[in-house]
Amino acid sequence: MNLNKTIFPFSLTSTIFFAVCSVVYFIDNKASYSVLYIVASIYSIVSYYFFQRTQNDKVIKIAVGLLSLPILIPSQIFGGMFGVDIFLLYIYTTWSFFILGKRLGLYYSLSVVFLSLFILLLQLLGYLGSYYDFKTILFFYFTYLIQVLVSYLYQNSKEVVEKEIENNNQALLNQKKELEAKINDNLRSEAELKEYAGDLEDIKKATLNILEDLNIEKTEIAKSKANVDAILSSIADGLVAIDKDGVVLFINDSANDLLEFNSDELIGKNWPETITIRDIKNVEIEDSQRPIRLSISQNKKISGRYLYVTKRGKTLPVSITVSPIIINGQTIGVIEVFRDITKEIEIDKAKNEFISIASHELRTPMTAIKGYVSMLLDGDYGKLPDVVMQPLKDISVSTQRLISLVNDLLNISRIEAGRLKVSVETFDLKQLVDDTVKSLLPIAMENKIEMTSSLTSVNVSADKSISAQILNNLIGNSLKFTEKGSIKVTSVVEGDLVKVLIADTGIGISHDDQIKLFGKFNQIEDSNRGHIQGTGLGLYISKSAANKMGGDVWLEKSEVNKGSTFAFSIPLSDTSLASKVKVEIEKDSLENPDKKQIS
Amino acid sequence: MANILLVDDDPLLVRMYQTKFESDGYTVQTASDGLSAIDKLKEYKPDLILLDVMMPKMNGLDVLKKLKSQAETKGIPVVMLTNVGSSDADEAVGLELGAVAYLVKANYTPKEVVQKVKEILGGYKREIPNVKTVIKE
Repeated sequence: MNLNKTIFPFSLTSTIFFAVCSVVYFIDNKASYSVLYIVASIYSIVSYYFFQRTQNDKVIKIAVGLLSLPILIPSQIFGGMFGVDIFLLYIYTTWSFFILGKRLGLYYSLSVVFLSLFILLLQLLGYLGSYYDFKTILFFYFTYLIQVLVSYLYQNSKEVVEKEIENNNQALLNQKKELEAKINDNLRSEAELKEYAGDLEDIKKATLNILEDLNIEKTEIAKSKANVDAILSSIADGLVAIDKDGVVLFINDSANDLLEFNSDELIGKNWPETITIRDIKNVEIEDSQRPIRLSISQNKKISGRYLYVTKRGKTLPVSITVSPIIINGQTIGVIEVFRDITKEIEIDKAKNEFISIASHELRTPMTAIKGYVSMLLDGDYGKLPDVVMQPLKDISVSTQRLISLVNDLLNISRIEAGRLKVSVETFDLKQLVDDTVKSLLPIAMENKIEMTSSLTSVNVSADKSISAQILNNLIGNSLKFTEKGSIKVTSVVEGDLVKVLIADTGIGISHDDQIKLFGKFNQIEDSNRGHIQGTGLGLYISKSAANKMGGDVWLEKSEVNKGSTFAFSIPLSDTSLASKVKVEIEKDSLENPDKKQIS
Repeated sequence: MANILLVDDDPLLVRMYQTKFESDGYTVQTASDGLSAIDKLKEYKPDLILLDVMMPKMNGLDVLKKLKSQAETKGIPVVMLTNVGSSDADEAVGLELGAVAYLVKANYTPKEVVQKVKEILGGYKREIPNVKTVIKE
C-alpha cells in the first residue's frame, strides 16, 4: 500500500478547502479568520511535504500531527465556520490514525480531546472567551469521539487485514524461499545429473574400448582358429573328430578325399552309420567293435589296420589310430587319424617277396657248398687224404655259420616287421625239453659235459616249434660256453608261468656284458674264446619270440668262471594269461595275415 | 631201388642231389622247371618226387597242385625241397596241397635228405587232405 497516494487527496482537498475558507472570511470582513485559513492552507501543503519526506519516521509524524492544533485551538477560541472546523478535525483524526497506526492515532486523538476539554474548562471558568455555546461544544465533542472510535475501528480492522496480508506475504515469501530452495535443490541435482551423465559418458567410452578390444580379440581368435583349421585340413592323413554319439564334429580334407566325400558332406553325420568299416580280411565289423567304439568304451588309444568302404564303394586299406578326447577327466569324443596303406601293403608284399628271393638266392649256393663238403667228408667221393679233412670240416662249419646267419636275419626281419607267426597249442613242456636235451646230448658227450634234464610233466600253451628253437638256442649256448662240468635243465611253476632254468658251469658273463646280452649282434667278446661261433642274434630272437608268446627269456644269474643260469618262461595252459595271449595272437594274425615262422 | 624225380632249376644242386641219391642206389631222373617236370611225368612214374618251389615257367606249388589233381600222379609222394623261406605259409600251403614233407635245403645235408626220403618210402604215410579246399586260396 502506498501511503503517499492515499494522503495526497487529503492534503489537496484540505488545502483547497482552507483556501476557500480564507476567501470566504475575507469577503465577510473577518480578516483574522481569513489569515488563519491561509495559514492552515499553507500548513496542509507543508505537512504534506514533510510527510512525504519523513513517512517512515514516527516521531516526525507525531510532530506534524500536533501541528493541527494551531487550527483547532483558534477555531475553538475565536469561533469559525462551524462544521468546517469539525470536518477539518475529522480529517486530521482519520489521517492521524492512518499515518500513526491505531495506538498512536488513539493517543493523538485523545490528546486532542483532552486539550479541547482543557480549553473548554478554561472557557467555562471564564478565562477564555467562547464563540460557541456549551451544548454545541458537547455535541461537537460527542461527534468527535464517534469519529475517533470509527477511525480507531477502521484502523484496527485495516491493520488486521494488513497483518493478514503481511502474514500472507510472509507465507508467500516462505513459499518463495521454499521454491527457491527447491529450485536450488533441483539445480544441485541437475549438477549431479550432469556429473552422473559425465560418468555415464566415461562408462560408455570404457565399454566401447572393451568392445573394441573384444573385437580385436575375436578377430585374433578367428584368425588362430582359421590357422588351426588350415593346419588340420592340411594334414596328409585323414583326421576326424567324432563326439561320444558318433557324430562328426570335424573332418579334414584328406579324410574327405580318401573316402571320396565332399568337404561338408560328413559334418554332423553319424560316422559309424555313414562309413562302412571292414577288417583286413574284408569282413564287416560289428558296430560295437569299431575302433571308435572301442576307444570310447575302453577309454584308450586303439589302432589297427582296417578297410574303409569309400562313397563309390571302393575298399581302402587304412591304418587307423583312435584316441579319446578327454576334457576335465571326461571322454567327450575321439580323434581318429587314418592313412591310406595301399602302398605300404604293396611294399610289405614286395619286401616279403624280396626276403624270400634273397633267402633263396643266398641259401642255394651255401646248400651246394654244405652238401658237397658233407659228401666229401662222408667219403662219397672216396677216401680223402687226411690233410684235407680239417680244411673241409672248417668249410663245413663256416658254411653252417653263414646259413645260420641268413636264417637269423630272416627271423629278425620278420620279428621287426611284426610278422613272426606264432601259433599257440597245448603240449607237455617236459617232453619238449627232454627231446631237445636228447638231440644235443651227442655234443655234450663229445665235450665230456654232464647234461641232465629233470622236469615233471606240465602242459603249456605256446608255439611248440618256437619253444623248441628257444630251448635249442639256450641249451646250445650253454654247451658252447661250457668247457667242463655240467648243464642242468630244471623247471619251476610261478603263477601263470612255468620257468625253465638252464644252469651251466661255464665261463659266466661279466656284469658289463650282461647288459648287452639281449641286444642285436651282441656276442660277448672274449679273446680266449675266439673259436666260439655264432651270429649273436640268438638271444635277441629268443627273447622276442618268447615275449610274443606271453613269456620271456632272461639271465637268471651269472658269475664269471662259475657259470650262468638262463631262464625261459611260457604260460601254463588253461590260465588267464594263456587265453589273453591267445586272443592277442589271433587279433594280431588278423591284422598281419602274412606272417612267417622262425626258420 | 626206388625211382626218384628231382625237379630243380639249379644244375649245381641237381647234380649234387643226383650224385648222392645215385650213390645210394636210387634211380634219378631230373627236370629243370615245372612244365618239363609235368611233361616228364607223362611217361615216367617215379616212386617219389623231390620238388623245388622257385622255378621258371611253373613254380613248385603249382606243379604240386596239378599233380594232386591228376589221378595218375595223385598217389606219388612229393617232398618239397627248397630254399624259399621255409616260411610257415609256404610250408603250410605245401603240406596242405599234399606234400609229404617240406625240407629247407640249406638246413639239411644231402645225406639227411636221402635219409628223409628213405623214411618216407619206408612206409611213412601222410593222409592226403582234400585238395579242393586248398585251391580256393
